Amino acid sequence: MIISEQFITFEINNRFFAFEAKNVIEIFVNKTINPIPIAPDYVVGIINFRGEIVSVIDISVKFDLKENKQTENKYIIVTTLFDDNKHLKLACLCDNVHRIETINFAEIQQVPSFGTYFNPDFLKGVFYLNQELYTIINIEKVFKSNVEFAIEKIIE
Amino acid sequence: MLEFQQKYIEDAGELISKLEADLINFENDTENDELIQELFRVMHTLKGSSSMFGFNKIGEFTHLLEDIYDLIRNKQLTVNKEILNLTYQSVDFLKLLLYSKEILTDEQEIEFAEILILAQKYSTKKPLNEIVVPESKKEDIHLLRVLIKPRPKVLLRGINPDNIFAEILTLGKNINFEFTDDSIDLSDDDLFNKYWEIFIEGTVSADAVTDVFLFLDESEYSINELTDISDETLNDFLLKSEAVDKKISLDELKIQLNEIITKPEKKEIETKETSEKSAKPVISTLSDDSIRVSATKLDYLLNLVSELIIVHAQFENHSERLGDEKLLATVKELSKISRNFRDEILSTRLIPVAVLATGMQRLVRDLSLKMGKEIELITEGLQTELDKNIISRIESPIMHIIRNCIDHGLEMPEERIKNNKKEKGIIRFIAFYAGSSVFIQVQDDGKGIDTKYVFDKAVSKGIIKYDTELTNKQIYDFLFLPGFSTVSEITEISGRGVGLDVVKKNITELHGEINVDSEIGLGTSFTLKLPLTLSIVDALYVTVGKFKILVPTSNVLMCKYLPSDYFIGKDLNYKFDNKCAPVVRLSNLFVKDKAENEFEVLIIFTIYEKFYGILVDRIVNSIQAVIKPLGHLHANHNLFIGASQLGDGTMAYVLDTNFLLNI
Repeated sequence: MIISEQFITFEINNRFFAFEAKNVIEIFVNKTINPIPIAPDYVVGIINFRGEIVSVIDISVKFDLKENKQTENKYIIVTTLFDDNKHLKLACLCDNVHRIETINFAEIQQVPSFGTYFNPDFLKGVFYLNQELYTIINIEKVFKSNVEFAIEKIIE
Repeated sequence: MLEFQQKYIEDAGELISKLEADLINFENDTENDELIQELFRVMHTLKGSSSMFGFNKIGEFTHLLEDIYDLIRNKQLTVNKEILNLTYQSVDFLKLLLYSKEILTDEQEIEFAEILILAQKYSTKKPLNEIVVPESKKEDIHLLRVLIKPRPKVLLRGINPDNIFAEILTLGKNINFEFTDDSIDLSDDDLFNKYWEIFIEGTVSADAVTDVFLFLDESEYSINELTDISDETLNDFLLKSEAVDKKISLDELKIQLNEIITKPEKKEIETKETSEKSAKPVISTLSDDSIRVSATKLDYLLNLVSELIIVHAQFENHSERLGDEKLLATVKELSKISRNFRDEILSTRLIPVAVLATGMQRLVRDLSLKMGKEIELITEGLQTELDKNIISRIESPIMHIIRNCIDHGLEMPEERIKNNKKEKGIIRFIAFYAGSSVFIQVQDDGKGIDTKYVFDKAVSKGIIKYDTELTNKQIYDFLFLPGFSTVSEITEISGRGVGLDVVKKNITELHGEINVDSEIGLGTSFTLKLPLTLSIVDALYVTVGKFKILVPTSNVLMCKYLPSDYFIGKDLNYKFDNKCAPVVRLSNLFVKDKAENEFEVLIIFTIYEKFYGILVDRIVNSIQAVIKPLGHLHANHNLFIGASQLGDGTMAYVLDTNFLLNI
């Protein structure tokens, strides 16, 4: 019986995130990104990935994590997602990739309906590792929807 | 099972199209026995595989059709218009059944039932005929002894003996099923390790019986004709051979067979391999010398090969710097091979326009019947090849044009005779290459477009003033305006709102053009100009700010260096060929600050005989580029149709010149 799953953990603007490892195809460091004119602002540009054009996305824009100043030594995580009966590829820009972690299902918690910065609809769950909270991003939801910001509404 | 079904749908789709094509040929030459045989064979194959994959309606329906064509084949029924129409309708329904996976709406069910009844009417003429025929020629009755001994595991090959027996039952009367095996233990694991003896009395020939065993191996059955047997001896013979208590009626046999058939399914997974193997011969008889490859695989190959060419370009650069002669020679050789390689891969995506022929012929036939106009379709250049994507996207526009030509262009026969024309109208379909484009022309020899009428219509719609002076060309262009219908009364065939404007839109999306020319009394001609393929393009490599842009050269008329202050204090337009061409400065669209160059380059295009200009910073050179889609996030990008990797590994964007039309 499968009781655990592997995740790739990474960092954007000092926040910790995770992708399911099964969705990740390749990770690049410092690959040249070709900017594309007239595109949504969360699209940084495109890369040529094995002969296929893949868009590079800045999650920090989509999640409204401002003050993302670091521009060099960026990592690009190429992921695959299944949408509309097609396999699509998307690349995400991040500041640092940590490692592959194996997490037991029991440790993965549901996202609380409020109290987190992000909109729970775009997350698959959260888990604690070394006292840090990691957020599992549901990449299909984030980039399928036309929602500009994937953050939780601020409760006043 | 699902993937087998998918495969079946593809194959059956092909069979049905073949049926349609054969039918059109057959209609022109109803005496051709070979064609009847071919029709019959296709129906038979379709029937066999349909029941095998659970498409029972198709199976039953084709069975009826097959019966009809069997009668025709045996000269017991003569072909007439009604039968042909019925078959055409049936082909349509077969398509519907296949693609809807036999799920029909209520309306369709009713229509289907009507066709079934009609088909039954023809197919059951058989017994009537047979009763008449045998009585007069009694000597034609012969007795066949059929021995079936299938190899073990016949069921796993998808062959249902039940169907075979049912089919035999239709062949003649006085049929006796005989188990000659004493131990009928149907639960036996070695299914069908037994044999049957069947006697058929009737007018059928041994050949007709052979058809039933299409899916069985020759070693699995034998058919002998028993001669010199009178009725009495026959009965005697049957009585003798029959161990009366063991005789099983057909119904019982069916029940037992059904029991067996439900059993082996559990084992299907283990023996899948064998069933696949035995299923193949049936399929391979259809394709002559070709292999079916999925388009995604071809795309992947194309990707790889374009990567190869890019890496090769870099390799060439490096080796030129090294200056080693032997290395350079090898690199040259490699360059030839990789280019050939790419061209070959590209050509695999090209298919001849002949695939459109069946549909056109069918359309012309149907419309000529419906409207009472005699029409001949003449095709030329059917071997002209185009990208598969383009062909599938021009099919409905071309059908629409033909429909238009027939409905509005061609006159009724009486009127044609009055005008000294042949009674039979002509629709001509011509395809040919010119440069990197393919031209497709659809012509009719009808009455032509009445410019005065169109002009008045445009005036009444408020598009132009009554005193405007227009060339014929400009008047024809009104036909492509949305909602501009020249027919006063809307007919069933055309004029339903979806008109030439949609045709033009579809063609423009393909980066093609459509033009119309006409001569009163002589006819009308629609010309489509289409690119050979959408995946490769000749382009000018230009820069705008830091961006590299590829401008497809197909519509470029002129490039000119202008001082960068040329447009200062003027409107952004340029006088070209005494016409005013609006100009777009690309850097205004996506670069914030203007380039500080002394010169900029003006590129003049023509789209639909109008001139447009764009301003870029610099032209680097002209290249041939493999276009790659930008991906789903930019699927509807306003400016670019794709991107292409340059020799140095960076990306350049391919400009969609149609954006100029939407500004």
